[in-house]
Amino acid sequence: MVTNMKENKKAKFNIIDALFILIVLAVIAGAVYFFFFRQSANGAGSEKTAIVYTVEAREVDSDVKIAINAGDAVVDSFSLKTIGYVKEVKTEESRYTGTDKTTGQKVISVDPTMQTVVITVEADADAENGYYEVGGYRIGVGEQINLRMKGFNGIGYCTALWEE
Amino acid sequence: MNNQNNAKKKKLPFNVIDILIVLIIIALGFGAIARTKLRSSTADAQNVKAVITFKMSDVSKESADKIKVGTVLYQNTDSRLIGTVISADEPVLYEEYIEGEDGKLVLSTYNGEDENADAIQNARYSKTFAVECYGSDTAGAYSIGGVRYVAPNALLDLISLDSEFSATILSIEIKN
Repeated sequence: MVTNMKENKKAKFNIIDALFILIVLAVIAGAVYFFFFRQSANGAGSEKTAIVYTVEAREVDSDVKIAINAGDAVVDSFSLKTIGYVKEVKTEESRYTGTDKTTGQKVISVDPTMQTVVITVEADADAENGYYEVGGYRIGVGEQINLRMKGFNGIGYCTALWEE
Repeated sequence: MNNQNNAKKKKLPFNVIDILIVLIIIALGFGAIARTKLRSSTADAQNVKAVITFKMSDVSKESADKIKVGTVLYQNTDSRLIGTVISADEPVLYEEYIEGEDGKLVLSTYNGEDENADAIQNARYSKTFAVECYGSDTAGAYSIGGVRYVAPNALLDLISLDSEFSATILSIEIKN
């Protein structure tokens, strides 16, 4: 009789065990989602638009040796997400806009201690939300771009954008 | 007798909790192996030598003179080792272009021959120096010690035994 009761007790459904199993299953499901489905949830499966945009980093010390190459990944410093690949890079003289104190006219002159770095970037963007988005990062003219590249680190601004 | 049979039927041939525990132990084992492999590969990657050229600007002569061959540099924020200075140029007078009356940029600097003792005393300097560093070199970045991302134009806050300053990275030359 006692044996029967014990066996009945053993076979009884245990809520703690069930919760434990549910938690383990949830963790496994979370891991599967994280590794296999997250990217498509972010829009990787949606249709992409090929865009090209330019980023200008101004007032870079002229002694800095820019080591950017075509094909290099352009990564956002904060999110560490790739926001495109370098198509072309060039350096220009750094121009300064001053004001003539007598006439009030705007005057442009060159600062020989500085250079401007212009990077042309190509990327596949999502336009579903009404604006171009690459790796979850909004790209638009006037937008600040925080560049984290192997050959350059700095802040630039998007100065032009077009669809390819 | 009937109750006994029902109990036996309900009882699973294995204990779910035991199996879960075994699975967790196996997963932890795999995790430990993966981590060990990752760590050893990271350790190898951290041995990549690089010579990083820095430029400190708009500093006093005293600050510039603190940086010489053999000076060990650390990152100011977390005292992480950056590297050892292997060469250092003589400091040069700091050049700055400022807006003139006509709106154009004009060079503003100490000429170094100024007889005004105060002006010389307060002169500002720039200095370029090279630091030998060890870190990881990947397709995406060179990282000092495998953790501190660096690239040309990055501004680092540095400290040595007896000085503190900021310096811009001019170039990174991978040595091996």
